[in-house]
Amino acid sequence: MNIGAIRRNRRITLLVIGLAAIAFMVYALAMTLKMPAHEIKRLNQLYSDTVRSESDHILMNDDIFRLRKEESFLRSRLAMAKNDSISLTLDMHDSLLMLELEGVAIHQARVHHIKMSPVFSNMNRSALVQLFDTPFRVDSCRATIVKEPIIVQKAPADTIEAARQETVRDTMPPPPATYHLFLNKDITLIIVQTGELDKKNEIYRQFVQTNLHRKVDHIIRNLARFQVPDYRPWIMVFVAQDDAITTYRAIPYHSLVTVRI
Amino acid sequence: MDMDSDRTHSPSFPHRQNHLSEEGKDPQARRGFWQRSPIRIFANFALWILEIAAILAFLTVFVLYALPYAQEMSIRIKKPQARVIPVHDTTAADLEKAVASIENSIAKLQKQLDKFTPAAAYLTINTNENEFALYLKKKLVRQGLCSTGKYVMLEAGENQKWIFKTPRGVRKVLNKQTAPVWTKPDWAYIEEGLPIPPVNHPSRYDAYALGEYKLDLGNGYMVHGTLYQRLLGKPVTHGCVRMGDEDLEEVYKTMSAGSKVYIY
Repeated sequence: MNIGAIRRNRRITLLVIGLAAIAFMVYALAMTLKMPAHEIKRLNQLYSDTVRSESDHILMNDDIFRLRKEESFLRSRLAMAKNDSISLTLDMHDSLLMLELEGVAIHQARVHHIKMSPVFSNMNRSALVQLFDTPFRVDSCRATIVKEPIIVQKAPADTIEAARQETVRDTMPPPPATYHLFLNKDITLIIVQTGELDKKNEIYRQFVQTNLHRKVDHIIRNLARFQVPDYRPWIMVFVAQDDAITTYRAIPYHSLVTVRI
Repeated sequence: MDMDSDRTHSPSFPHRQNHLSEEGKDPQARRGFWQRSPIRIFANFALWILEIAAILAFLTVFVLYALPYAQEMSIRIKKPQARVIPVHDTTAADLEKAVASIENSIAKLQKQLDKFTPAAAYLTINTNENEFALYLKKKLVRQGLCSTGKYVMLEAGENQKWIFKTPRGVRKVLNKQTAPVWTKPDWAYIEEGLPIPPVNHPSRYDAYALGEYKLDLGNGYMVHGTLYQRLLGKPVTHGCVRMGDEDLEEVYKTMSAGSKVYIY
């Protein structure tokens, strides 16, 4: 083959790859942009007026909406109080993150800042109240911190070895405390410590990268099957580092969670 | 396009160029070594690879960064829905009635929820920050530092393992005792690298380690005093909760058998 033909073939290949990339980007963008609207529609259909009467639904002005939210919060906490394990309560109205055990608020942490997926503000009010009316259950979680920081220690042979063990302690700086609670009803609760995060910390970096890769992987898989990828509405809460660690370590793996919006 | 004519005039076609050069008819044949050198061919190829790599890199950045954020943006640019759902046949009286009904429901729920918090004394223990809080009649009466389990698994051979942690959950004070004596278990010797004495050996009894008071929480766990006051606020115990002398005294006097201890 002569060089001119090779060049032409290369240009054609380049053009095909470029066009394919543009086509993919347009398709991916179109499908991705559909995701939240799809989720809002799904949540509205799932939670609107499934229990309450039509009259309850239409009477949803600002006052009633506020009262309904408070009512659903209390109802959810009451349901949680019947459980005998530690549960988590997020009160966005009073900016509190609480641990509750058998209905007793055993720990209260001040919430410094809250961010929310715009899905919630675009949902039907009636559906929103219904969504938060019962406790969520943690399906799975991911964190930069360990649940139980257990150190394995071999029994010392004598008193000298025992004395040496006493002095050996972990001096590694802890990673920034952050954890994701993947709740049922397809909502993610993200707790992040306040202050400057050490983004160079290896554990934290891996945590962020894994989250991104999982998200992208999920989107690509759905796009490959010509499906609109699922979108998980999220709530991000910023609390002090100690409170982030305390709450994460205190709650069991499948804890109950109540949120007051 | 005529492939042959293009080939004829191609400066990168060495055989054809050489032939024309010999005849002295093609001015392009006088071009330098660079025009037909393998370096130039390689450079062209490398450029082509770079162009493909650039497209792929752009695509990767798009997938990794643009796609995840595009979903959020799509809602932000959407107009928010109307805040108030139109009320057609609803009068002010209906609204008042609805508000009263919900307020009544809230009051009832709050009352039910309040019943869960003991009016009697109760204690909360934070094992992460090693702090306690004592409540009486639903009011905080004292808080301070304590020491809880150190999260160490002591292994002595295949079958002997102990985990020194304070179990989370709710417990009740089973009994209270002054001037308690600690009967040292085997792990206390193993941990210090000492030989284990026989059961009921006098060396097993320690009258000072637990301080002045002890509140028994069951399963071998206790709230008690300590000789190591400087370690309060740190996770150093074998699962019990250690307190400073003054704090322990108040807890001992305030709590009674049956009082709840919430550990988290």
